Amino acid sequence: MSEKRILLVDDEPTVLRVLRLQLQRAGYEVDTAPNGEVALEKIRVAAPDVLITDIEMPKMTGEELCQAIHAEFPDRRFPIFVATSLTGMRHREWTRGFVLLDFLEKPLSARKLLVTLAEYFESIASEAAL
Amino acid sequence: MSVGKLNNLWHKERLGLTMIVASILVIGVTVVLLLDFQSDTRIDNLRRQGAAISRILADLPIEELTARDEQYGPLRMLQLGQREDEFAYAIVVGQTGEILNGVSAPSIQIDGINRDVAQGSWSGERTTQLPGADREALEFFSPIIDGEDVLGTVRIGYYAPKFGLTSEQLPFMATMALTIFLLTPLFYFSVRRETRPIKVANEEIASRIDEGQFSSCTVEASGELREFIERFNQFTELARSRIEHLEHDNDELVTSQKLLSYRKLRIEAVLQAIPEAILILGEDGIVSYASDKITELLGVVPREILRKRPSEWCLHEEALNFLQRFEKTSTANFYSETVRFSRSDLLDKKISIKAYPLFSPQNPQAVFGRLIVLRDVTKEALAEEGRANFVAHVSHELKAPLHTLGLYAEALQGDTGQDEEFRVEAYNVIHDEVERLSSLVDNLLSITKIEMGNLKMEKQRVRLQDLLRDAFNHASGSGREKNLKFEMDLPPELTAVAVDKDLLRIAINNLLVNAIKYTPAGGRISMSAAETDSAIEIRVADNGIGISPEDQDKIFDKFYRADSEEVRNIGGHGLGLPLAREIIELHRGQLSVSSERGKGSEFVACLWKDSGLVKQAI
Repeated sequence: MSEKRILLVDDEPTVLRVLRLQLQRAGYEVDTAPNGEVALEKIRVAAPDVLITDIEMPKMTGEELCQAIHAEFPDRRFPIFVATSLTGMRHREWTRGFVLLDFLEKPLSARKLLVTLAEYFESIASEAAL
Repeated sequence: MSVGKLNNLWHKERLGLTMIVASILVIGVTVVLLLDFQSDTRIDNLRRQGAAISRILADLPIEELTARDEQYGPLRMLQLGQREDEFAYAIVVGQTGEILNGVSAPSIQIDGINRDVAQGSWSGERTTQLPGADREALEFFSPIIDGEDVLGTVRIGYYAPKFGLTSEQLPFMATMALTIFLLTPLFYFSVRRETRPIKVANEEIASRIDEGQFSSCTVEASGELREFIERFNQFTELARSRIEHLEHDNDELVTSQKLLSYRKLRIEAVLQAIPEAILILGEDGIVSYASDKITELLGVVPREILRKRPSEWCLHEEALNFLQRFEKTSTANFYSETVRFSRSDLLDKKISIKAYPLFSPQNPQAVFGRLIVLRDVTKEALAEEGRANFVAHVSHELKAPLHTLGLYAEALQGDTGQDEEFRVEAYNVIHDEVERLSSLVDNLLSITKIEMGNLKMEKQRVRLQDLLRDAFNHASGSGREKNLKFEMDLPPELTAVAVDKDLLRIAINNLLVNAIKYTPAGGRISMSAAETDSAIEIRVADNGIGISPEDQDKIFDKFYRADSEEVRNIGGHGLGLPLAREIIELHRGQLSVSSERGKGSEFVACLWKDSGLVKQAI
């Protein structure tokens, strides 16, 4: 099985660094982007298996990134996990019409993130087996 | 006599003159009527007399009539018996028209008398012209009949009576005229005497009118005039009391009007002085007052909206919807309401409208209008937005290091000790993030204190070069790891200035920390100070990443961070420079920056010396 490629988008370099390390340790291939704009360029080159993005970022926010992806790749297959605070999770009107999009509660925990990712990949593996 | 004088005389003596004219007319008319009557009477007498005598004579034998007896002939006798001024002639005319006999007044020629008689006229009368006189005659004729023969005609002529006075009548007429003429002034004077009280009363009333007084008439009179004056005085008294009453009412009215007007002006002055715009709507929702400030908020002129419904002038939908609610609501079913709206033509202007019911003093349940208060809340809205943004920024800035700390703690927890490199990185990150948090909280507290005005400056004269050196040494210690080169150029002596040394140290430290942060390893940081006549300039320069021209204006805004990856990769919270500027400005100084991308930045803090401050004040 080839390594699953995760694209992490956050404007905090330390967050990217520590998460990248944790995910790499768990066997994932990790790519990072400091904002939505860079992430979108990377997706255009190669779509990741999972996209994990923060909301508040300079140049292009997580919300703008999701909308840009939705517009540019209407048939996307990879899921998007949006990291946001509890307050931010209440404001999800903008996600109406999006599929394969979920929220991750901030502050992020690498352990929880790994569980979420494992569950996701298991579910698509079982779907494929069927 | 001029026309004016005649007019005057006529006005003064109108009664007397009228009476004189009237008496003359009465005399004239009486005389004319008398003469006319007299003339008619004489004609009647003549007719009776003429007709009778002509018949009597015609009955006499013709011989007798024609006998020319000068003394006793019937004709002569007739002449003698007649009045000389009446009798003209008496003739006997034959069948062929010849005069058989006749007598006449001396002035009349008998031959000249007209002897024509209308055919068939046996007896009768006619008017004929007398010969030799300009007068007419009244002629009576009768046929002389003997058996069946007509022998001739008797004709008797009388002077036709003249219209006029005869000398006998003159005394009678004169007496009568004199009597009337004398009675006229008597009557006049007696009328004058009787009407004198009216004249006196008239003059008295005229003088009262001239003086503008309202008192009763004191003229003494009798009879109906007395009654009239009494009634007149009663009427005057009634009118006077009514006028007094009206004047009193009027005074009260004027006083209350003045009072009302004064109160109105005072209330209007108060309403105008209120910083909010005021609108008063009647119970029917129609504008009864609008203060001048309404123009600024709703773009309408007060006098143009008076007595109009809001739908006729209000162009702002939310405001109109709000105001229209009061067109039908007369009961106080709510106490006050507020709406906030943006003007459709000025989107950045926010206005709040509040409505308060105006209760009737007599019936607290009845509402007789609304007091509408409009306020420009643009600044409050901006401040609220600013506060919300500030809280959002602060929480974001606080959460970010906590988030990182959490992630690293979790990573260390799972680390089994094989990855030494990661552990060192984690320790460093944790240290940096704790520093960042601590500095964030410190700066946040300081800046909040300054902004809230709670900061107590403790100024004292300090040796600035010592303070600068301490700050520089402390900062350079933390920058050693980046292999930065530190240079300091301070003059041996700087004029002592009064500053809060703790605050100034924070400002200088923030400038140095900023320079260290944004200067890559191997770079150079320098600090210098120079003194002019009026100020001391402290410069902190670096050859770091620099600041773009558009960012140079914004770096002093709270939480602003340049939108570049280079900056993002360097931990910061956007409070250091704003705080440094606040502190320098608290010392009445200035903090400015000059920079170029990729080449470095220089911050200059200018602190005025005491003499400089005096100069500035002047």
